[in-house]
Amino acid sequence: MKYLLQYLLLLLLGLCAFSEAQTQQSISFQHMMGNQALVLDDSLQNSHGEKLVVRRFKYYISNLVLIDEQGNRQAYPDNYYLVNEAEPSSKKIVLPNAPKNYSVIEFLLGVDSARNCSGIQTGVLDPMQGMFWTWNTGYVFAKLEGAAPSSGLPAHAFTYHIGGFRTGENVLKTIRLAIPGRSLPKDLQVKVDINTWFSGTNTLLIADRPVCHSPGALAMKFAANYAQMFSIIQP
Amino acid sequence: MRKAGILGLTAMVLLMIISWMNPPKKPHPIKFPIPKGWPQPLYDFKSNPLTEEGFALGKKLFYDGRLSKDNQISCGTCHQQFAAFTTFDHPLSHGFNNQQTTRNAPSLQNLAWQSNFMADGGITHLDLQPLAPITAENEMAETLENIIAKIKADKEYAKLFQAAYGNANINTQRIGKALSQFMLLMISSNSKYDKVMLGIDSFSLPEKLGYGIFQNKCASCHPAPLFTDNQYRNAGLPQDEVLKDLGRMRITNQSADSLKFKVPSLRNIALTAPYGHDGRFFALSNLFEHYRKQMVLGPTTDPQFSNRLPLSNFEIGQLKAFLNTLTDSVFIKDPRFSELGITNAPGNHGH
Ligand code: HEC
Ligand code: HEC
Repeated sequence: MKYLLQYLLLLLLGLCAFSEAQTQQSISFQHMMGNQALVLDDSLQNSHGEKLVVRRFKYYISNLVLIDEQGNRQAYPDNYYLVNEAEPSSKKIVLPNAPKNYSVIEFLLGVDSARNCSGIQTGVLDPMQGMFWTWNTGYVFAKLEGAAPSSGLPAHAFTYHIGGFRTGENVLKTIRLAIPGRSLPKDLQVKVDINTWFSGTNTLLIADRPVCHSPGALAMKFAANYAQMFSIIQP
Repeated sequence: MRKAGILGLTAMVLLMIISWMNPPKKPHPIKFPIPKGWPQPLYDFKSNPLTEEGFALGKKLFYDGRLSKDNQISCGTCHQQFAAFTTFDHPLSHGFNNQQTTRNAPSLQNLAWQSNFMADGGITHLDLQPLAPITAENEMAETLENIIAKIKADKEYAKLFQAAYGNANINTQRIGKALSQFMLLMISSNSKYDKVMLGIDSFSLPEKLGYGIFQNKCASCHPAPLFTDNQYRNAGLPQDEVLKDLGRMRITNQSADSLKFKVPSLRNIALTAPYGHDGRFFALSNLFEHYRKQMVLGPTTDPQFSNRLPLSNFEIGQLKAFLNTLTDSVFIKDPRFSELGITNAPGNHGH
């Protein structure tokens, strides 16, 4: 009898944990080049026929929102994610407290301007992550580096560091994806197609454009392209 | 079960007693002093409250060569107190592996009243400024990971971080904030000019005449009390063929900003030769020759210079007398900012 209260409490805790587990959803990103899965340092080919290897591929995701049919929004304003091909665990974003009935997922590809403007951040936004321009304050929103025979640079390298949040060079992209069946699966699979960097709104060949290292016109072209890189894989 | 409960309870009570007898030491706040008649500072002190412990940590970091790859180059190597924190007598400063910077090191003073840093204003927060020299190949050439590893290996730092932040966690943000605390208090407001303005000293005749000329011909871009309007302007310096520095345009990509540089403060100007963003003017006389004769008028040259800046020899003499009154000998000798008494600080580089 004496311990009844404690048992009850324990039971309650257990129930809480149980219901928590029920609503924990996740999003997994699958990096591809067209229909080929990305493997770092493995030979790939873009749709212009340029052979290439990718050495680094990472990007920020922030301001994630889930929206249901009625327009109710579940927002995660304080969560910043750095998705990095080299770190498998970073390719899965866990969303606590997310019921299933969402029909749209929305997020920023990049880091909102507020966080670009308020000094040194911590965690995935720590400048130590190598996604920050020290001489021209601001985050690199997406980074793609590798080598391609068509690049005229030393070691046939190509390096794309895309960012820029100021007016006139803003490359923050809002990505909006409709969830099939209007119900969030336990682990939503999102395809991320690197080929979109090179073709889409703008035709960009590695041969012509092996480098982009600062905000500006070229970065805006790449970003207009890669804004199309996400698509939900039908279950 | 019962035993465990009692044990736990005793442990808790004990812990409470211990923490009550030995409360965590709180850092001692410092009130940021605003010199009389000066505007409100632009730095957001709420995000980084000044404390004696934070300042002490910042000072140690500022003079620590381990922030560089060869453990030799500290912030203080290029920013020397006796030269108002510029590099004494150097157009460009030396960095890692005998490389040079691409600009003249500016004086560090009154940084709380600036919101953008570097001659092109590319850095928008003082806390972020150290990351640029630390990671630049031609300056300190080090990675943040390595610096944090070196700092973590030093027990002295553990104590300083503990004292400043309440625990010994070391990260980029804390390093940046501590360095800011040290630099924010570098206020230069004790020159003869300041004393004259406060009515406790008076100008000599040449200084007084120089002040009048300054008000007429210079104050529009170099206004008191900071002696800069913090704007970007083209003062007619033709582009150096090697450095190819575009100035503000490097940041904005706007051709209208080509060759514009931040108007530098003139405080302590007598100590900070050579002059100009790349240190091309050996002495003030060279700069004045530039202002009155050599200035190259291009599409982005400041409209105030449409006739260059006519100055007679007499005026130049008086102006120099006035500019000398901006030297703050209290600031450059202030022991709070001096390298003395700092361990692990590399000596000033000499050659
Ligand atoms: C190798 C020499 C060198 C080292 C080392 C160095 N600096 Fe500098 N510093 C410079 C130069 C040169 C500039 C001007 C850069 C520009 O305008 O592009 C500068 C600019 C600055 C500014 C901007 C001032 C203004 O008014 O805009 C600050 C603040 C500063 N440095 C602080 C530091 C700190 C803190 C460190 C140590 C982490 C440091 N510096 C290390 C050479 C150096
Ligand atoms: C139209 C604005 C303007 C006016 C007027 C002006 N300056 Fe300047 N001054 C500048 C700019 C911009 C620079 C930086 C030039 C560069 O490095 O490219 C500068 C640089 C200087 C420097 C070099 C500082 C350093 O640390 O390198 C001195 C000294 C100076 N000015 C003194 C004066 C004096 C004295 C007058 C009046 C006779 C004057 N200026 C008038 C805009 C102005």
